[in-house]
Amino acid sequence: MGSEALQTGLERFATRTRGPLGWVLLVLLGVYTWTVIQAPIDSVQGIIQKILYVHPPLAYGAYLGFIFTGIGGAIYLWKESEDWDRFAVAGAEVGIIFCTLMMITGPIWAKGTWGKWWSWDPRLTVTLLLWFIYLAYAVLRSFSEGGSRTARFAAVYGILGVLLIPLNYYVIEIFDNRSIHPDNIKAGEDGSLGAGMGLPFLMGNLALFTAFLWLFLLRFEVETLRARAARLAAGETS
Amino acid sequence: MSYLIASYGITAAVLIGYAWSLISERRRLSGDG
Repeated sequence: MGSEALQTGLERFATRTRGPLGWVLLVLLGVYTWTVIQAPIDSVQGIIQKILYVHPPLAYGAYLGFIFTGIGGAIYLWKESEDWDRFAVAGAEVGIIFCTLMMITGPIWAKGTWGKWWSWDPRLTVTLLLWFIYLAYAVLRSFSEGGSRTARFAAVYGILGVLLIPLNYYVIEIFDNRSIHPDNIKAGEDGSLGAGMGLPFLMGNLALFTAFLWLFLLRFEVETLRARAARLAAGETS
Repeated sequence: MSYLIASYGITAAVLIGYAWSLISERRRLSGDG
């Protein structure tokens, strides 16, 4: 039986989409780099303000990864298809990578702007909690032997973790702007971006969103191949 | 400037390294590598 015949619908979609998406990503990364270089230097913060074009897009990627974990888990509980469990695993891992980078770029900006790497501010604290929750998800999955019981537990855990995302996003408003973290970025005429800063911010979001999807599809393929290799090693031919 | 370079440099290095590790793993598992 050929590998094409063994592929599931989700895996076929991942394999066929990832190639063209990679070329789109390369173009977007080029345009993104150019717009960041060309972006005006902020009169208050100076050049360090340009971290804005990478830090929030990484946060949105992290949110997306954890939402994918919740969606994958919910569909797994509904359909009991292993494909969706692997979808959830891929979302968690890529989400953790993006969340980790968000937690690195944020303190770098904070050191240059606030003069300190970290503050136990509501946004930073909830972000750290969100990171720990999905890191625990990945660690628990890596230590378990798999199976439907693990997948069901992970699905429920992954869905519950998603509840922290709206809290993470709106925590600044919830704490009535007592947070020292800057407000969420607002687009439009009365937005929080200065002149000439909208395009690099948009390109940062487009490029890192595409990077997220490309990595997610690749991670999903790897997880599927690992599962197939494990089945073959166990003597099954599915 | 060094903070800016560190932010973008670390992000690029980690994402490229992660992509590289996934591509290598995919090649190994599919018997291409």
